[in-house]
Amino acid sequence: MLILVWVAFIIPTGAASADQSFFIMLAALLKIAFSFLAMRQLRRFFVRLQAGEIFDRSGIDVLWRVGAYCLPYGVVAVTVRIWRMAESDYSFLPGISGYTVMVAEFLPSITPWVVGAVLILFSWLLREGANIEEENRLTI
Amino acid sequence: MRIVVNLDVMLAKRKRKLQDLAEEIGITPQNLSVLKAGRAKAIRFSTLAAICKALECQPRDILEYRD
Repeated sequence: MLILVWVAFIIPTGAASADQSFFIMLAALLKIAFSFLAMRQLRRFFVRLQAGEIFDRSGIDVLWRVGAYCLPYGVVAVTVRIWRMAESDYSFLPGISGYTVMVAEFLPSITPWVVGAVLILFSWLLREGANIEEENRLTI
Repeated sequence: MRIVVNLDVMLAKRKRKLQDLAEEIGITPQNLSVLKAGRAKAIRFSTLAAICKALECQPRDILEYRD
């Protein structure tokens, strides 16, 4: 597993120092852990979707958890990007502004934040809807 | 600290069945059963008035506050 992480994440980044290697490896492991947790919840969500049970409370909770696991994944991803940008030299890209580099570096890391925030917001709306529905149902 | 519904007591006093009362006041027996079991979150004044009219009682006979 560690070799796989090394091959998939560390070699392409061209990590030089031992500290850098350790940091990137730790970040990669964290990202794998959070993506595993998110995928496991997503699998449960799709099972519920197939059974047509996404709009009950358990389905909403599953959706919320997928979003909640996307956020720490995004934190780790952004941290790695910030650190890598500070360490990197972009002088080999003449004519490319710093802003373009920043957008190119951050766009993939911001995606989990956006997905996580949208899922959490959506599940919150669904939960409020479920509360209102329950209150209406139990008003005699 | 909660509101207790004494509908079962009033039904027993008036010797009425839940089904008959539900039919008379125009709500489903399932909903009336939810009210009787104390699982209801709220009760409409119109429903309370209909129950009081059918059972010839006051709201205080149906609802009770317990600390």
